[in-house]
Amino acid sequence: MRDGSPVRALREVRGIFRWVGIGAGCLAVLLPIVVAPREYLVYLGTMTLVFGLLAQSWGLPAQGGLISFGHAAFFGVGAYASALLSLRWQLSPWIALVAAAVLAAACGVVAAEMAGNLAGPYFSLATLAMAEILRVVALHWTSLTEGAWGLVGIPGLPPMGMGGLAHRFGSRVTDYYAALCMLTTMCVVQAWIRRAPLGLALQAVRQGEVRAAALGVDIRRVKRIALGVSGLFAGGAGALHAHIFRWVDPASAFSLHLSVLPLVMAMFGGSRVLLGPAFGAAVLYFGNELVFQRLAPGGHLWLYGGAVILIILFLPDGLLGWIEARAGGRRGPV
Amino acid sequence: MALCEAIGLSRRFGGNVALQDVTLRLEPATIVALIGPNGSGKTTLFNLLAGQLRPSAGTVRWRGRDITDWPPHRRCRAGINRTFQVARPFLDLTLRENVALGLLYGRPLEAVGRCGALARAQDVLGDIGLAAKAGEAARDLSLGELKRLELAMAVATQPALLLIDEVLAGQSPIAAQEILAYLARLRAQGSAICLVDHRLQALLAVADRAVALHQGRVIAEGRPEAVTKSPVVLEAYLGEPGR
Repeated sequence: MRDGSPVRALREVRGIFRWVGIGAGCLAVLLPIVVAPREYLVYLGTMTLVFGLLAQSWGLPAQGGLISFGHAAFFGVGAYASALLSLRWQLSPWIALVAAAVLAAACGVVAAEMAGNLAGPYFSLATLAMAEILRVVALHWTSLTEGAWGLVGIPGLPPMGMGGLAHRFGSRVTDYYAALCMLTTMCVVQAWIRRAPLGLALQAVRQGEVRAAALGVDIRRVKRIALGVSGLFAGGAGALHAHIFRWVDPASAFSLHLSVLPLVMAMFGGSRVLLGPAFGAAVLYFGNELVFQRLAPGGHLWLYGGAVILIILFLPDGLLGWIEARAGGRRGPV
Repeated sequence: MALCEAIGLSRRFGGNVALQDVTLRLEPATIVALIGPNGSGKTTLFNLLAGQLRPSAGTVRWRGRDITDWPPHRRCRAGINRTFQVARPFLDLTLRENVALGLLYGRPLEAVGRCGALARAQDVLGDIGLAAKAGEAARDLSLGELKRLELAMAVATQPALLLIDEVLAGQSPIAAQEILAYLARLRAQGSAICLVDHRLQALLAVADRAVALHQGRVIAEGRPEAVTKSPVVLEAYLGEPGR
């Protein structure tokens, strides 16, 4: 739809945010070059982007009141599918990654159908159960998944030339830019959805399903799209994770931690703000690795937890939500 | 062929019969007042016609087609819309966005885009006296304004049948008159309107026909003045004489 184009959405972001956003974007693009040859920092950047992608994908259905407690399901499906496709069928990891993401999107659509009319906590519990069921399936379907041993030796993403960049700055650079591309795509899709009729419909579904349906909104369809797109990118994050670590097992791919993490990151950054979840992921992951672990090597998780509790108590709109409100930026669609 | 027909509609909630064997015809360009004491089944009938509830027995026909199994959004797109007794606009959205939703989703064939819908929503709000507040969040409205917003959201889809549940509650006498005049204009444009309200006099002044419900059954039907004077209706409202 013409009036929902991402370009226009960007143009309506207040000046200061546009420049801060462009600055952060440039930094993200140049990070591997700035920090070279410290591969560890590139790796940290990649993981931030992967978790940012997971958190950002969690945020889309959350716009419609669909609070998922089981995003590990999509992450794990993406990880396993990409691993199996590239290991067993020798597909190129790039193709495997895309196919795995599409499969995870299909899982999102199926989840929307199965959850049906469930709302609120009932939906959350259903997604939690879905992730657990998939974990158990991955654990016991040994002929396919090798069970608890997990799949090892997954091929990494073949380095892209990028004008000798990968050669000069190490093999991690390809992972980094793949993650950056996926996160950017997710953010553009979300910006577009927020400006499109679907964005209004999502908010309407969150605030009152009965009223929305009486106005002609097909609730099931809205949920299918939201969870399908969310599954696509969460599955992409999982697939990328598998190719980065070259290994996947049920306990890590479907771990409860991966379901809770995007929720915490999105709350921290601000789940109502477009870039809130990714921002939360960046602050928490980088903050934990670079600040908390240096300050208190033995008790960094205390600091992590404390930071999350403080934000949730005092800035219920999240850190970016608070910043945006203070700076008088645009809050949600007009 | 009637625009909308309820044929032998019944609805039970457990052992409680909310509506029993109700048959009703709604014609274009006609305002029907649906009256009856509290708990007589008026809102349940609306829920069955607009699709929020499925009947325990009976059918709903729309332009001759059986739509009993249609979900609410499909009925809305076909031309049935309603307001809710407890006003339920989306409180975090602006008035304009609330109305635009109806334009975007209730009329899917007229693709106007989100900007077009917001502009048209402004006109709809103007018709009902809410233009000045179009950019405000719905949560800042008074009860009377919320009810008018409910009406604007329903009208935005240009429904052929409009079911209006208690829109006059909380309105000043002047606002109530304006709403009734507005409904009369919609009737002149061909809409069928079914009105439920506790302000009987105002209601009957604008209605072409009245249907009285009591304990889930139709007890009287016809010209408004005849229905209100009918002994069964008086008895339903006031109790049996001499007891």
